[in-house]
Amino acid sequence: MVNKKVRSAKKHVNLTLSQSILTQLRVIYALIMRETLTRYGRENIGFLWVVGEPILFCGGVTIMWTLVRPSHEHGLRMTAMVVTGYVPLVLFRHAVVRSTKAYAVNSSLLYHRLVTPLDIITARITLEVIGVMMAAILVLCGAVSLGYMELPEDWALTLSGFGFVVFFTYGISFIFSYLTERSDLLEKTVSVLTYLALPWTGAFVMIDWIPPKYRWVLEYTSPIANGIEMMRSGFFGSKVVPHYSICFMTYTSLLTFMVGVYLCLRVRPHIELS
Amino acid sequence: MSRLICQDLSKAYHVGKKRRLILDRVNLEVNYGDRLGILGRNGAGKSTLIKMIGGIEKPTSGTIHYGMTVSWPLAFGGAFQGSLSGHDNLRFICRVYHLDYEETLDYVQGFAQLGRQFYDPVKTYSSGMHARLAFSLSLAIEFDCYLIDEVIMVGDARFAQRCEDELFAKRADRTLLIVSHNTDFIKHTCNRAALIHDKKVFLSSSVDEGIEKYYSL
Amino acid sequence: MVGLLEANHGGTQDTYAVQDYMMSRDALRMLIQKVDLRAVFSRSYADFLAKFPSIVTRNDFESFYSFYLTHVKAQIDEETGISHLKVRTFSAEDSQKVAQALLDAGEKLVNEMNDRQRYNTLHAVQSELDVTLKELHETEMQLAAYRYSNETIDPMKQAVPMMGTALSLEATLSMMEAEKKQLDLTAPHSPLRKVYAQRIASIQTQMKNAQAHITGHEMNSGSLVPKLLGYDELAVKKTIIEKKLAAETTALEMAKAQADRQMLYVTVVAQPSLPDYAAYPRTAVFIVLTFITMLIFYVIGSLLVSGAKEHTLQ
Repeated sequence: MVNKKVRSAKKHVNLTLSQSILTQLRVIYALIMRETLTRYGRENIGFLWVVGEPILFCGGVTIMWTLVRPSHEHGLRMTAMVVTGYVPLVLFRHAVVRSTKAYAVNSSLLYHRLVTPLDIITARITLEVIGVMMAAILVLCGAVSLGYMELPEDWALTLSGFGFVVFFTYGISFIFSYLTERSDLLEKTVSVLTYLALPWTGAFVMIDWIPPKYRWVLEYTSPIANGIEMMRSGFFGSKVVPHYSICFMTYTSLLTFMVGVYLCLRVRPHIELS
Repeated sequence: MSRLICQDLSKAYHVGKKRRLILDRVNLEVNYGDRLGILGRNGAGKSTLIKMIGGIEKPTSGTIHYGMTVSWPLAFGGAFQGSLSGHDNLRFICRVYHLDYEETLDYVQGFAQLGRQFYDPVKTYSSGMHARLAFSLSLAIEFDCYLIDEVIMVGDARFAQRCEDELFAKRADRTLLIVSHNTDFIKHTCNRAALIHDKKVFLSSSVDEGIEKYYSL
Repeated sequence: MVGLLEANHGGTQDTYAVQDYMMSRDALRMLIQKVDLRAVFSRSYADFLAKFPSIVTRNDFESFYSFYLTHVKAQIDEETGISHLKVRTFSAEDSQKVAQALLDAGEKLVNEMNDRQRYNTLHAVQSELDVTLKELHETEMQLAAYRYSNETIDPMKQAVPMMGTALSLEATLSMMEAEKKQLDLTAPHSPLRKVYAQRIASIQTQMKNAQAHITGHEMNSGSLVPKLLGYDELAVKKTIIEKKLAAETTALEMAKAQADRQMLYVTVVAQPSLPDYAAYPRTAVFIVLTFITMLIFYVIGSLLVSGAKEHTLQ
């Protein structure tokens, strides 16, 4: 059934669940490889642009802020603050922007019935996650070796925080991919919305810095801010007073993911084919 | 008995606030081995029907029961990413349909004979080359039923001959759904004919009768 | 069970001391000794997973400490400055007992901190004051010895009447000389002139003696000036020490006042209460939460499965 030499389409019929899942993973892999080609082409560094784009963004902003701003803010290294804030922020923004009209521009893919909308959006976001993670590692290495920041005190906490941001990003991108397919108004305002949502992501502040009266905005409505807070808690250790709740992040991310998957499985009739 | 059955298939598009019905509760049965020629005027809904059967567009209502594996519709555009080369598209299809890369490459190169242009972006292809690529890629996978939307007539004489061999000789048992305005071609290849008119599908008892009806519209 | 306590004043750092102590291994050791905490957490009615040691934990101090941390919470509410102490055990009485023991230990800790701080602030000032007092005493002794050896009480004061004598002698002398001059003019041959001359001479001798007594240069002449020199030195030293003493006394008073103000104290805002029903486990919450969580996982799982199942050509 899974033999590569078999050319009959019958091998894609009556699959068991594990075979279906394998097929899906293969399709997502194929989509990722294809996406790197369509987006970055074969010219110059090609595939490496996956890292290039976010690294220009993260690295550029990090360097600029490090130069312009005071080296410490509230007793924390400026560079470390920028890196821990910008990496999740770039991931979130790029993922949401990438998810808008993700199906209409890829309608040729839907000619193949093994490719589902969920696969398309998963591949796109995964590519974004890979790129941002590699960029983060490079920026981290650069800043650490130049002495502008220290390594995290607690790697596990930092990575789990980032993990929550990634998980939530998948869910929200799924939802956006559906909504932008249905509403032109939303499609056109997405970039504005992500810009307006910047303060809501908590990328530039620690929740502890803002007056207690307004903390709930980030603490209880923003899973991203919670994730960033968790990352920084792992990064700075006891130098910060973190405000995050694993419970809140888990439930919001799970619910977002659930709604997102549900919508992606039902987006097909709404896709405008070219 | 493996059959492709369309039950009460309807399709409506929304243009602005208006709802335009293209097909209205269409019923169609295709047996394994049928070669069904689909005739109809421009905009009658032939491509829409093919796309629905191919699973690209979801019907507004009604169901399709698949008793056989159906290829993607071979048509202009669609299926391929214009900015990628034919080779890239082939790799993608190999990954998605889990095919052996070397073997498929040999087959497609042998059939389509695109030469070095195989490594150029698809958008630079002529319509003939495009058709050759589309054909060879879909024939690389053995479907039970091929959906062909006008493409076949584009190729040159040599390619037409190879298609003849591959599709009608080697795969004589397969089901074909062919959309075309070329009545001679339909008469030559098909054993059944259907006419789409006024949102409905009319099955004819013979191909000749179908063609007659088409001309009398 | 909630006990509230407040550590007051003395800066924010100290406020955390009580809290940190309560969450420390020292506090755990104290509780094991005082309220037999191991017995508290291994009651026979506790279920086999929740008690300590259970089948999933090791039976050593470090494991017990991490177990302790999950059952006792001391947290500061940063807005109000009130610390909240929560203790969870398997019975209400145990919880209250443990909380009370922790509160007492916290209070003890604060008292120790106070004593230490008071000692630190006052000790330095007090010891300086002691040194000064000793110096003053020594100076007084020196002064007494000086008086004794020079047979004098206060040369300055002694000099005043002497100066008076010398002055009256001088006045008498000038009067005599004036009378003698008068006599020289009016009766140049009077026998009285001899008498005057003798008197003047004797007064002059007396004056010379008196002057030598006050400002003479030789030590054995009994002159007051050298005595004055030594005396003044001691007197100035004494005045300086006295001023220093006054300043140090004030400093001590101030330090005492400050130490009083810096006193840390634990105020129990609310005594550990005795709950009349078990607060844990929160059965209803757990059931609802478990149900919702399972539901979410089920929905996501089935959605993903149906998504995967779409990967077929039929």
